[in-house]
Amino acid sequence: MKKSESNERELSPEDLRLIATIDAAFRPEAMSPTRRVMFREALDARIAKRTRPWHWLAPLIASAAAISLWLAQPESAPQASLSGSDLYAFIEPDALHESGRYLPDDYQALATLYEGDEAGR
Amino acid sequence: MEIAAQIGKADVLRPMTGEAFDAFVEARRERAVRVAYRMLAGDLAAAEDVAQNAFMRAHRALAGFRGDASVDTWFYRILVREVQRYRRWRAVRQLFSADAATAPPALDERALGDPGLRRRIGDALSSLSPTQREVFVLIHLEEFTVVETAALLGKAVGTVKSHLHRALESLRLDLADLRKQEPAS
Repeated sequence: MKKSESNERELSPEDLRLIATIDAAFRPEAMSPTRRVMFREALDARIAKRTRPWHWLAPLIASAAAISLWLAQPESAPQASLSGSDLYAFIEPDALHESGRYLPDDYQALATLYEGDEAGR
Repeated sequence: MEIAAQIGKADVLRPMTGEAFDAFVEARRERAVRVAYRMLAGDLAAAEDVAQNAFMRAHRALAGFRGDASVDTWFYRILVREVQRYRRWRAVRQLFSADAATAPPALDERALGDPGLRRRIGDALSSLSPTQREVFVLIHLEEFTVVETAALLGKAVGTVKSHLHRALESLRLDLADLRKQEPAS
């Protein structure tokens, strides 16, 4: 194994043996022709994918379209903040004071009964 | 092998296409995968992935290569950065995946030699800090000089020597028995 002088200076024969063992045992086997072709095809696919302009343009265009749509939509009508009774008063201002008119007949009869009792006292 | 000798200095300065890039990849593929494999402690699939990414980045960046450094130093610097990027990504992935964190690294069938010995060496290399491992692999296994390694890693020569010393000390302890026996051919 060829080493630069500065690297070899501090290495003992035992160290050199250790390094040679690691070097021999810890390496992948040489690529077969099939694997070489697969490696190159995968690399070419990666390069082609990277150079496609729409690869990075697509999210940009989608974001721009979403913002345009959001800006173009008409202003929504103001939401009513009236309570139920306010709305009732708005539709029929007198209704709240004449609630009896809107009661079903049975309840109307009961109301009359109570009102009669009140009048009798 | 020098890229200038293989494809001509003028070609280096142009965007590489076709045969020139084929020659560039062909000249470095085996070594690039081997360097990544050793730096990633024996994960061959990851090593091939990292090497492909490095070649892809080199393909894009060769147009801007000014020839100030050797092409090899320039390319292996890209490779080392890809290894570091992959390691960071793997660390983040392991952080969020209990299975990945606890699963032992896959022992690759396509590597040479005794699987048990390979596992031991992989464990010993894994126990080094990333920089110690990078320095040890580049200098002692891949025969880059200290100065080249410093340039590759973007570190001072003294820092590289210090990491190299610590890496070797750690490996001497972990793999003491290998210092006494002859390496298997």
